[in-house]
Amino acid sequence: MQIEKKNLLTPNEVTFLLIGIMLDVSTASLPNGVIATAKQDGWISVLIGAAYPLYVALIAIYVSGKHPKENILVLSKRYLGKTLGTILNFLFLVSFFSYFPPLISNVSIIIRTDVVSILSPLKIYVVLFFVGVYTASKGIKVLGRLCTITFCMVLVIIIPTTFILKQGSYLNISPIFGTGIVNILKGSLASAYDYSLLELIFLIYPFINDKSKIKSAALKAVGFTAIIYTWITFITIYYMGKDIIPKTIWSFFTVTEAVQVAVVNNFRYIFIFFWIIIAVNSASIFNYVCMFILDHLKKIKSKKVIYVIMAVVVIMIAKTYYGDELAMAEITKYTSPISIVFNLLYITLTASLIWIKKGGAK
Amino acid sequence: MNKKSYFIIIIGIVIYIFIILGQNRVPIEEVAIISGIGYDIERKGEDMMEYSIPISANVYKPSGLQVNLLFKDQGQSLGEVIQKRQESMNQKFVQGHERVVLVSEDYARYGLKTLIEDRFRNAEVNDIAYMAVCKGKSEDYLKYKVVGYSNSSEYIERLIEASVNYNFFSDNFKQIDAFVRIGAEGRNLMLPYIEITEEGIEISGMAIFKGDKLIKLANIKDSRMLNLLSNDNVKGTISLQKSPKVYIDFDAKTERRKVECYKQGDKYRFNIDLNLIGAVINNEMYVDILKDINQKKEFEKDMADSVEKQCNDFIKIMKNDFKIDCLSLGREAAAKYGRQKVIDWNEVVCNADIKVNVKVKVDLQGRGDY
Repeated sequence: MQIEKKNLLTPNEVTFLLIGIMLDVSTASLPNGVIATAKQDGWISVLIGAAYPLYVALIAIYVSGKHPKENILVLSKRYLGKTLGTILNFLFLVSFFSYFPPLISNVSIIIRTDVVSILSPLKIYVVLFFVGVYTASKGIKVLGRLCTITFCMVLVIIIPTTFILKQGSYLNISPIFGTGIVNILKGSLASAYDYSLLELIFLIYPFINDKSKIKSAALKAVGFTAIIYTWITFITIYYMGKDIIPKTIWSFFTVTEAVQVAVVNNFRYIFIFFWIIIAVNSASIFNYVCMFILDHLKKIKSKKVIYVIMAVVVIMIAKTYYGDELAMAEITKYTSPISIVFNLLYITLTASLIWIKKGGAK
Repeated sequence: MNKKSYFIIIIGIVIYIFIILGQNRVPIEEVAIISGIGYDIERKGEDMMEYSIPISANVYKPSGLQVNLLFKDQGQSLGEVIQKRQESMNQKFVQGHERVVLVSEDYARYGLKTLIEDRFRNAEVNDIAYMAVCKGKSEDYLKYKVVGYSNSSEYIERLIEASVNYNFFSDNFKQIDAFVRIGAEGRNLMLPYIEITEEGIEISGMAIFKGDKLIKLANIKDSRMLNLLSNDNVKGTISLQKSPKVYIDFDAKTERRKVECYKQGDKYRFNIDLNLIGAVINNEMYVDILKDINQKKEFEKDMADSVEKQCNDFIKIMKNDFKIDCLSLGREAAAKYGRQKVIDWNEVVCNADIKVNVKVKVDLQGRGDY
């Protein structure tokens, strides 16, 4: 009993896990997406975009209140019937999985562009999976701790960007609300990709050691992510202006160039080093989540074999279909909205069935 | 437990070998580190031109000796130049440590677009290297021997870095500043203009760009006012003088400049408020400035009038001669009256009423009046 208790997550670790899955490497190009329609008001769009994870968090709080011991995979089977539940659970897996190849492909493109152009993508993928699978195989507690460390690292690289407040100009962000509320709302759609996957909370809330803290943990995760994203978008627009951002691919990296730290010749290298650790963190969570759902769908005896098969499949997909930035954007343009809409429908359906059937352990 | 830690160590070594495999790493003695780069063009008749890129590279010998070499190659495109460079170079060259990016006047007049594209796309380059426009060929500047320095690019970097102390120069001459200015609405790029004179390399004014093209050169006197009007928090010395023996020098520091923008019908009006605070460093004009508050006030007023007049003179030159918005006023107007309206801010600012209000405050007078 004692050991089991030790393996449960603390509320803070849940918060950091949720931040860890939302905040992946593609955040560096978040300002590019929102600025296309929202222009200098892009940061407001990002703030409004937080409505999506907030909705997911609220549903999660409701569901976890009714069924604190079972995750959504069990619940959907119970309320929707075994067949339909299994099909939806499988689609839930697919929707998570659709974020996996773009993630590792993005990492490899960033590493090869900005740090070491001599590494081949395969080498980067293999190392990423080595570390990712090893961490994932250690279970959720290790992941929680890893996410805590990663979150500290995120803070370490985000805080120096406040120095840029001196170098940029408020003129770049004014007139505030100048683009019109319609464009701002349209822009917030572009931030949905980076806000997605908070749905992870439906899988991990049974692991929390203090059930009463789920509410604050989920809301804290949404709050922190919204603050970090809004800050990233704000400082990027504040420093570069809306005319220059579309010229870059990862606009936030260009901002970090302007950070001048004593002794360090170029802050970007330090920044990207930390950014790679974020990528490793995301890869571990993805490995864990995919294995978790697979394990639930069909009991798996030899997890090692499945991990290797999964790694090979993801690497193959990433190499063939997500080879470069453009090809990746072309596919995620379709997969991301579909997966977001599906996830929303899935959790709403399950939650409303719980509400209608008045289910609950209390 | 012991077995596990061995396993982890072995895995670590395997990953390391896996990454390292197939890479030919070279020691520092076998690479040339680019310390300064210049951009020239050579016109070869009508519509025919070649890019010429001189680089100044540091080579480290095993004996600890450091030598500076200049390589120069020409080509139809910038990529071709890089390829050709290796033909005459016995070492691999690395970027990222360059201190200055020099642009020849011809290149700047032709347009910086190709240069910016080259520097922007390449993630290896040093974004906080200083940029400057030079008279004549940039090659001559990189070749120039400065006593006490191993290469002239280091000297030029220090030169631009130190310029902020006087003449109201700002620190915004880095490559990344050029990126955020050229394409932005209502902003124009200004770079220091350097010349080789008898005394050596010196800053002789400012190069004023419209879009990516150099259009005018301002001499050092106009540059002072240009810098004073367009920058925040800059330092410089201004004087009032009646004769060689009767003068007063004021070491001033500006605060954040405040710009107000109004629109009356189709005409824009700008009010620029400048606050100069500083110390009197020489006084041969106001006898009782240390004791008499009225004299101090009189000086402050005289000084403000004088600076205002110089500013207005510069604005007249800007409107009639440069015909461009050097003061980033278009940006202020765009921030107030909205963007994406396809307005030519250069034209708007040149036709606008620009009023300068200067306030001078003496807060220090040194050790005393002798």
